Parts: sequence; C-alpha cells; structure tokens
Amino acid sequence: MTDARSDDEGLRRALRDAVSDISPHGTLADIRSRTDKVVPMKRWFLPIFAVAAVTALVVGGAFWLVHDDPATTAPAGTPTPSAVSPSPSGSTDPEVSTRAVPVYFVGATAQGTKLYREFQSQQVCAGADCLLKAATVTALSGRPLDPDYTAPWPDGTGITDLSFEGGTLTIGLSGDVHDRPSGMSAADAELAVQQLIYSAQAGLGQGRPPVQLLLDGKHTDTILGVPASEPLAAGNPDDVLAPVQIDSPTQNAQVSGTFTVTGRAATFEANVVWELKQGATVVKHGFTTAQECCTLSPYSFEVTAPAGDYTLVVHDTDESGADRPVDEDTRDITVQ
Amino acid sequence: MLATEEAPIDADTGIEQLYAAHYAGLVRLGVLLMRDQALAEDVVQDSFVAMHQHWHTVDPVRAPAYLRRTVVNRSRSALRHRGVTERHRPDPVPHGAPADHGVLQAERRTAVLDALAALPTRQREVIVLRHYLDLSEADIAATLGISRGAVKSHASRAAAALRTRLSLEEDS
Repeated sequence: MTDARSDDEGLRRALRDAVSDISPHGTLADIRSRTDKVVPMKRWFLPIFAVAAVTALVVGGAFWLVHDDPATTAPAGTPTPSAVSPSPSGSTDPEVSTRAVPVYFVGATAQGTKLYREFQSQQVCAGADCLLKAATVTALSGRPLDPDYTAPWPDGTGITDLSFEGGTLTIGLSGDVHDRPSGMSAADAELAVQQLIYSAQAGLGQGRPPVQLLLDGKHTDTILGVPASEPLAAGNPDDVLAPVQIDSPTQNAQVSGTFTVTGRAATFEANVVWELKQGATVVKHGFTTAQECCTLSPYSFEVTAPAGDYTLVVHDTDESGADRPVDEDTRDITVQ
Repeated sequence: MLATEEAPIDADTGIEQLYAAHYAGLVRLGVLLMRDQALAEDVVQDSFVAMHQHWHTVDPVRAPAYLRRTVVNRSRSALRHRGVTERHRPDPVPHGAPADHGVLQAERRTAVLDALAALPTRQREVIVLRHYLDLSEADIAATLGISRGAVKSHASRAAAALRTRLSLEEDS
C-alpha cells in the first residue's frame, strides 16, 4: 500500500514538474476579442440611437454587414430576409469565416413540441454582431438540417432591425406576422416567439436579455397573436427546450472512426442512453450522465464504430414502468 | 412566458473570473495532454470562447468543471485533427524552458511529456486528470463520459506504463 501511495506521489510530482516551467501566452484580451463582446458594439450603437432619438423613429439596419452573403444565411428556396441593405457603419471587418451558428427549431418530445438547438455551419462575417444576425435570420427564414425539426415562422418573414442596447435585444420584423396564422395553435405561436428569442440570445452570447419585438419598425401589440408590446423574456428552459438534444455531430455529418457526441439533457438521474443503429440493428450502445440531474445540462461521450452510415439515437430512460414514451434526439451520420 | 425577467448571468464577468483562476492551469493541462504549448493555448482560448457563447446554458458553480471537460474534449479533437492532417508538428520541448535551467531537469520534463504522449489517448486523459488535477474516479468518469471501471483500468495501465518508462522510483 505504501508502495502504491509513494508511486502515486511520484507520478503526481512528475506531472506537476513536467509543466512547472510553462508560462502560458495569451491574455484575457485575446479571448475577449473573440467573444462577440458588447463593448465594440456599443461604439456603433450610440450614434445610431442618437439618430433614432432625434427622428423619433427606431432606425435599424446597423447590423447588416456588406460582406455577409445572404445566400448562405438563407438556404435556397426560402425567402431572403428583407432589408439586407449594406451599411457602411458595420463594415469594419471584412473577414468571413465558417462558424457554427446556434439556432433553435421546433421538434416533438414526449411532452409536446419544444425547441431543439442546432448548430449550422455558415459563412459568417467576423464582426461582433455577425453571429447574432446569422442566428436571427436563420431562425426566421432558414431551414433545420435535421428533418425531425421544423421552422415555425410564416414564409416571407423578414428582419428590418436588430440591435442590442441598454440590455435589451431589439428585433424588428416584417411580413404578415401580426396575427396568428390559421392552422397555428396559440401554443405553437408562443413557441415560435420563444424560438426567435432563444436563437437571437444564443447568437448574441450575452445571457438572456429581454427581447423587444417590432413590426415594420414600430412597436406592435402582438406578434403571431402573442402579446408583444413589452420586451419578452425567454421562457424557462426546462419548459421550452427539448429535454434531450444532440449538439454534435450535426445531421448528415461525416465523422472519424472515433467521435465525440455532445449535447444537453434533462433526464431522470441525469442518465443519458445512446444507440448507434443501422436500420433497426443496434451496432453500438452505451450510456453516460449529464452534468446535472433533471435540468438541461451538458453531456458528452465517445463512440468508436467501423465506417458506414448510421443513425445515432440519444434518449432518456423510462423509469416509471408505465412504458411512457422517452425523449430522444437523432442524427444521421457517416463514419469514415 | 412574458413576465419573469430573469437576471442574466453576466458572461463577461464570469469569463474574467474563470480566466484569472484557471487559464494557466488549463494551458498546463493542455500541454500534458497534447505535448504542445501553442496548441494548448489555442485549445484553451477556444474553450473560453465557447464557454462564453454558451454561458446561459452553464451553471456558474459548475463552470470550472465544464471548462475542464471542454479543454479535455477539444484537446482530443485537436490531437486527432493533427494526426489526420499532420499539418501541425509538435514542439518537442515546451516553449519557455529557460536556458539556464539544468539540462537534466529539462530532459526529465521532456521525458515525462514524451511518455505521456506515447500513451493511448484515454489512458493519458485518465492519468492526467487523476494525478495532475487530483480528480476523483467519479469526476473523471463524468468528465470523460466513461464508466468508473474504465477509469480504474485506464489509470492502472497508464500508471504502470509511465513507471516503466520513467523509472519513477529513482525520483521518489
């Protein structure tokens, strides 16, 4: 026993010593410069809002950056957002790169329809607010990669304004969205509004600020029939978001023979169960735990599989004995 | 759904505190996992950025554990990516090994990093989390998404391999 302990101590010392001379480079500023921070944004917003105050109109469009290609943010066949007019005030950084745009879509769960987050790989400009714009445009007029999800907004919904100022995110909409469309339930309409709020907040990356919706540049009593005159808060994630979600891999992703699955789950005792299937055949299976029980929290696990096409299923467990349906998320993937 | 105005957790403040407390340690963790300081810095910075972007999904109390897990997972991906593309060649010795330090000491450090690099990925992760971060078996299992039994077997194999390679009894 003493041998094992002193061996452990030797290992511990060796590992500590091996990196004791490392003096890390990189500063908080390096990270800050990449986190879509509010500080550079505010520099743009102040003059814009001064103008707005003078003209007594809410003037938006500050976010539209000339180098953003609308064709990539709005998939072919969907209406392009209106008012994508180049704005010289935002075009400080011409760099465009592929980024993972967080966006929420509607999908089925054991407790009715809820929101699933999807990361869409898109060409996005490098400015502080580009991810916000991409996420918001995609939420309104994009399409989910996963065929199990749907986009809730009516065709032709566009964005006229997008800004984050004074702790409130403002999204100006255009299109026929004042009233609830026929065929859309009140619950679906509320979920659509939540989908927009969650997507915009995810793109902004500043927590969950309240969201003021405008219609045609003006305050409106309703959006999709949902009261919207006041800024709206994000709903409780445990009510609004699907309890089992896969973040990565994305739908139709090509992955290597050993790949990591990440996502979020709110499940009984944090249990997360997975299967890798080919048709009805379970090729691999396993389980992990999310970081927390009963509320949406991250999980991750690793899968090793031979090359081929698979469906990855991640789900919770039925502990009731009543054979109730389980919550799940699925991805079609190709192992290379 | 409208009324509650949930006080948003300030991502900037949270990241600043995490940076002060954990940045250097996480870079060192990355060096142990990847034997490459520049790559470790990239991975850790990417992890902070990712953390910032997903701030609203993370319980602040669990943020350090979440960040650690992100670094471990991203280190694994980075190594795999490097293995596939061979685009990025590893630095044999971490940057900043001072010239005036004993050659023996530098050699020993390099030997430890080399020995770690020679381990299978899982064994390396487990041994580093166990003996560098002092995580419990349960925490390691949760961090890596593997069972506690697997943690045990990886740990004992890794320890045996490292002891053989490094002849640790001479040091202790």
